[in-house]
Amino acid sequence: MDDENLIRRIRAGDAGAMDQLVQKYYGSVYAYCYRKVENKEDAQDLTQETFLHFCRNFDSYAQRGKVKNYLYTIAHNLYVSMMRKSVPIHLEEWEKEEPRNDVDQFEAADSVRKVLSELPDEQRDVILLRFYQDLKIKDIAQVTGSGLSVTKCRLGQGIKTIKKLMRGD
Amino acid sequence: MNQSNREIRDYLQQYPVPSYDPEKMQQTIQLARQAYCNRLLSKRIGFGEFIRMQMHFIGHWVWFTQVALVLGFLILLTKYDFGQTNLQQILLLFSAASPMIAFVGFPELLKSYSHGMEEIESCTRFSMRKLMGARMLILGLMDLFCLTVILAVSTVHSGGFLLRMILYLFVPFNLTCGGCLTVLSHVKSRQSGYYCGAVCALCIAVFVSLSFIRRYYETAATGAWVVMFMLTLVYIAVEVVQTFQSFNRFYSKEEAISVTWQ
Repeated sequence: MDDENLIRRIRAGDAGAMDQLVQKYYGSVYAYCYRKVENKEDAQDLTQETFLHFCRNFDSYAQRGKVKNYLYTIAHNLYVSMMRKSVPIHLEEWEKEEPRNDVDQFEAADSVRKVLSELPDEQRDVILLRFYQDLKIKDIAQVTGSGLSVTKCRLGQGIKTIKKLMRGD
Repeated sequence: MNQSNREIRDYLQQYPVPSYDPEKMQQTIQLARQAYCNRLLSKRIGFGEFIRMQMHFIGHWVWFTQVALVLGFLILLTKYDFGQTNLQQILLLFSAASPMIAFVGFPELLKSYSHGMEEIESCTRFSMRKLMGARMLILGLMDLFCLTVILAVSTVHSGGFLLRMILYLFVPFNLTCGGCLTVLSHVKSRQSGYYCGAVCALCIAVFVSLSFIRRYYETAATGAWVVMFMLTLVYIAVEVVQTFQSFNRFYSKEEAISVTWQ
């Protein structure tokens, strides 16, 4: 079912449609949150908080863009406020996560993580949304609350930095 | 996406995301459903909207009685010729009408208690104090509106002495109102309505009797009326505060909220 129909049903008071919407976007919102907080537990909590925020304030949702983008915006804002409040993040979680049999794969993932952590927050946000969540530049601008040209500039700078780090400069 | 960007994408894809716990997703679905259903409860209600909502709970008979009283007063007033007669008839009408206007709203305020609904009402979204405060405000404003209409028409018909008219109209009103509020703050039961009715009847009897004694309504007695007006105003203010506080006191008694299970 497309988003427009789901939203229409939710507006009409169909709680089942809300369940479907959560199920539909849980995975992608979780993936986005995970790459932001780099921790499974915190990512799951942030994802949950994102959906709860969406439900609590559903009446004020104007449906101007895609639902997914709106959820990313909520997740982004919640992450920013979480950082401001300095909520502790379980850094040791990385080590505890799913056992990795392939050492090469683990090293590759670790190197990408390090590259991403080298980027300034604004550039990292744009890179995550562009390359992992497949968002268009105008949607990224909407999620991060920046202008189109600023977003393009950040994306360009981010790509340049990643290339440089990939080469090992 | 160009070749260079595709390379970056392939490189970044080496950083996988661990799968989420299905239980956590189920928990999120449940909580989201709950938050969606509860969102109406957490919605903020403005003061104006709250007052409008409470107006719907006031019985229509209150409005009709108020309007009937004002109309009755106006009809009787127009029958008198004030050019020739003295002030007595108008005072008689004031003495009878203003305590009745004050009394009309009280059975409505006591409705929760007389119907045994106070326990249910105190468990709703708004506290009993807020609900009763809103009802007192609405009924008080309605009373003031009625008194203003009566005052304006009487002043126009009798041709002057607005200050004295205010005093003669508001002193019986304030006294009845204060008396009924005293009853309301001390007795919250089915009988409260009868006590309020008795207070109203007593005030009518006293002021109707007074209206036959001319010297109490002469210009020389205006000072005494001003003092009485001020005193009744203080009395009513004190009683409003006490009644308002009594709504919370009634429900926070230790014995009322803690029950020993045997």
